[in-house]
Amino acid sequence: MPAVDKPGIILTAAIYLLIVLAIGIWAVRRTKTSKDFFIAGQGIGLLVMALATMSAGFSGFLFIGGPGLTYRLGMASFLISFPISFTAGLLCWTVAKRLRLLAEVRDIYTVPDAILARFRSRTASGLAAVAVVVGTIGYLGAQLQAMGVMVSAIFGLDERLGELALPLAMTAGMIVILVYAVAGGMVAGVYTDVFQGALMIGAAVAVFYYSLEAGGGLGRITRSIIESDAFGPGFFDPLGGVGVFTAMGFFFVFGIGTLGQPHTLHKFFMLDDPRKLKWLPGILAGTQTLVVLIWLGIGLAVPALVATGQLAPLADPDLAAPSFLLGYTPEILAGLVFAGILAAIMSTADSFMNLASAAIVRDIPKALGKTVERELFWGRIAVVVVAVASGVFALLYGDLIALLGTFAYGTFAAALAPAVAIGLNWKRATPQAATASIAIGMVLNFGLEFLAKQTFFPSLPKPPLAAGVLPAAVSMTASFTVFLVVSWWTSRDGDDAVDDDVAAVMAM
Amino acid sequence: MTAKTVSLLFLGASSPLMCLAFFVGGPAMEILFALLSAIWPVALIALGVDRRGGLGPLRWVLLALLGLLVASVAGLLAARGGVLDDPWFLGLPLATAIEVYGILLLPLPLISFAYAWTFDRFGLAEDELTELRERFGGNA
Repeated sequence: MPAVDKPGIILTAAIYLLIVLAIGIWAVRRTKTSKDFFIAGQGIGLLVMALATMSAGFSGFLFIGGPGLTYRLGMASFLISFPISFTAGLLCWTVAKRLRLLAEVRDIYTVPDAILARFRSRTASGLAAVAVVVGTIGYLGAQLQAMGVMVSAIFGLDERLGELALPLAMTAGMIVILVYAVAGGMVAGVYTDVFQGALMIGAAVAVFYYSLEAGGGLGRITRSIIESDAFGPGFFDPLGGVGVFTAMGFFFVFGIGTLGQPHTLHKFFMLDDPRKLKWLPGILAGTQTLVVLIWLGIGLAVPALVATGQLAPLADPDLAAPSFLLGYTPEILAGLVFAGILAAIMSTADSFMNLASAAIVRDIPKALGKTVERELFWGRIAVVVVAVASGVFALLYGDLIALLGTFAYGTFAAALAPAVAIGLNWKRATPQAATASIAIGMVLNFGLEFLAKQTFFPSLPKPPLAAGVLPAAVSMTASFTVFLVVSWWTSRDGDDAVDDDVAAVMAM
Repeated sequence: MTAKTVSLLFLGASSPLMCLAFFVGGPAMEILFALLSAIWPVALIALGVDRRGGLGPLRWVLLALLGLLVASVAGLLAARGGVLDDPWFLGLPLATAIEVYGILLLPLPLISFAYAWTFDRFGLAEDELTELRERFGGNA
């Protein structure tokens, strides 16, 4: 990452960090119980929830990794983000209403809580909590790493501090998140998400405009890329460039896998009135589409600029966004976008801190038949422990954390999607099926991803998969298969497998 | 046979088939995986929507979504390798236009509108929520 320490950018980023801190301090007074801490007191409105869901779901990958991936893979990369057209509806029709209504009839704050209520299985719930913690370590560590790189670049720390720059930048960024995540819990989390989400939308729309202008319009951008030797027509061939298994694997994993993402599902428990879900698909999908414009704009403009010789070929594809922002947008906008990138990273990180804290303080003890007294106090302590442990782990084992971060999404999808999406809609789904699919999904995804990408042990074999197949797609289909087969195998007639209140929710 | 049963049978049959395709590989398995992937979102939505055995007016919406996604993916498969030969549509080659309009822009308003339009019947009616709260105490 090049240093981007221009005065306008530094000032914008500093103001952003101060506003986030101020929201955190404001939220402290509104956080009195563990319900406030973990699900914002179940008192947030529709727009707040939609923006919080959008900003927590989009990490820094959208701003940096996305355009970089497009530079490498062309239009196939957009099959990661384009399923947003149906994922909001899929979430709402399949799981959102029932998760929110479960929280209406019981004290449910987390996805493992919901799995416990649905299946009456402490084993399934405990395994789900373990999946949340395992996925969180990777996700959070990767976010903290990315935040360290961004803070270091914005404030020019690399040149001044050398090797100390990254740990110091990570520490500084983490302190800001910890202040609001520990003190204000999810109340601070969702309201910073609203600010961060609004910032992301504004920055994305403005950058999209500048990217079309820099490239000379969509038609000219397209022709420049097609006619260039560096990219060629394959860039605009979504399934032809990288192969069908990879391209449609993106569509499948990121389209269906959204049903297992705990940082998204968690938000549904927080809505004050379940009937407000009526407008969620429109608002959520609309805001997500606006933010994806930044990926689309930079992802197309940078290859066009390289194709026409206006920009030197990139040594690292992930430099696509910083190169464009520094060279083709006004300094104040670049500052806003860099703040927007920090916002995306921080909003995702703080959601995961809260989820891991809930898993450690509530879900795992519950699975072991214990309850923790003073949940609010220990929840705050757990947030600090999780953040510090992930940060230290990311510094000591940077490559491993980056690897874990890339497959956390698949781990959540494979482990949790069948139990949540089918379990909440089919009474004959059994606790044995939930337990087996969560375990298979988690272990298989971890094993396949590790074997496919690891370089630590050269003698280990690669998974025996066809070329281009995504390990997450394999583990998801295996997990769904196990869930359905075991349910059919172990289910009995009669409704007594589900409690009356849960059965009533499932019937709605 | 209810929509829920059809969805479950589809998911139960397609998930091991897709898993098999990943290990076997080859053009036929790629096409199988691509087309089944396009049906999955609709099958899962139908599973969530089905109430008392029916989809009501949403069956037309889900059929439209199914047609849109399957046609888009089939179009992408058919257009592979032909970017230079294809006609262009609104500044984009056909394959890219199918991806942008067929997968992103058309399903979005269809789903958002259909969800809001049918919310009282297939989402959550006021009296249903009141009844649930009365029966089970209301935690909120």
